[in-house]
Amino acid sequence: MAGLTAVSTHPRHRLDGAIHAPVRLSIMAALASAGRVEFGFLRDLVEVSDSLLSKHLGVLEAAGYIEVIKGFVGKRPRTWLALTPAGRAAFDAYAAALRALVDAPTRAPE
Amino acid sequence: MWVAMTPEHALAEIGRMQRHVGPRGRWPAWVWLAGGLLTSACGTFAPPVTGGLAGSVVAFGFAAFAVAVLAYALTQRVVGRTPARLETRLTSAFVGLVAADVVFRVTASPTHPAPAVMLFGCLPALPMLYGAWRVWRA
Repeated sequence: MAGLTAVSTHPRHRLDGAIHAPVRLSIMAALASAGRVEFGFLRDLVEVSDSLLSKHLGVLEAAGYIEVIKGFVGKRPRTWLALTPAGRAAFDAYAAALRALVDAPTRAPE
Repeated sequence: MWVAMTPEHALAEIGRMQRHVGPRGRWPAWVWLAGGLLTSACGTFAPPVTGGLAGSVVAFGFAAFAVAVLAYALTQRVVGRTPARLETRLTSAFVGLVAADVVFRVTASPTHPAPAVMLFGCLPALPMLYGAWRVWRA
């Protein structure tokens, strides 16, 4: 058990699987930098297709990390995306875990 | 396709997104600053303080500004954190103070820019100027 405790203190155990995929990390980082972001802008920024972005947004929405806001500009539908408080907390924790990984001293193999 | 990232690359990606998205969400500060200054001017000289052509110019100028701001806002694709947090409260305060100014003008019918007229005319600008300051300070 002592060994398991030592392993579970490693910063990599604090990396959230819902954010860990590169596209989802980019999405979360973009949304964390703003109050809300328009779907098309995010798609162009992350450089993915509509369908792939929708798939990743679905994962983040199911995790309770993002909020999807539907609206209209004239007759054209427009979708806005924003982080929820839980999503912002999860992203902050994820970024802190990354910084801990980078700052951690390299351990020599035993 | 899933591509593994090192922690350094992940942090670099977070930084890239912050640099790219952050500044694009600060545009409401300029809108609120311009709106605050114009509201002060129009609020002071709005009818019945000025009548005839001058009154029409003031009223039309403010309406044209409002339409232009709305059109500009609809083209924006990022709203910053601070503006998103403040927009509902600032709009409510602005509408309430404009309503108070309208009630004052209808009941008092001022014909020149007395201190009370300037006070009621400039008050609606305060929420917008405060919003601009908060965005720039953030």
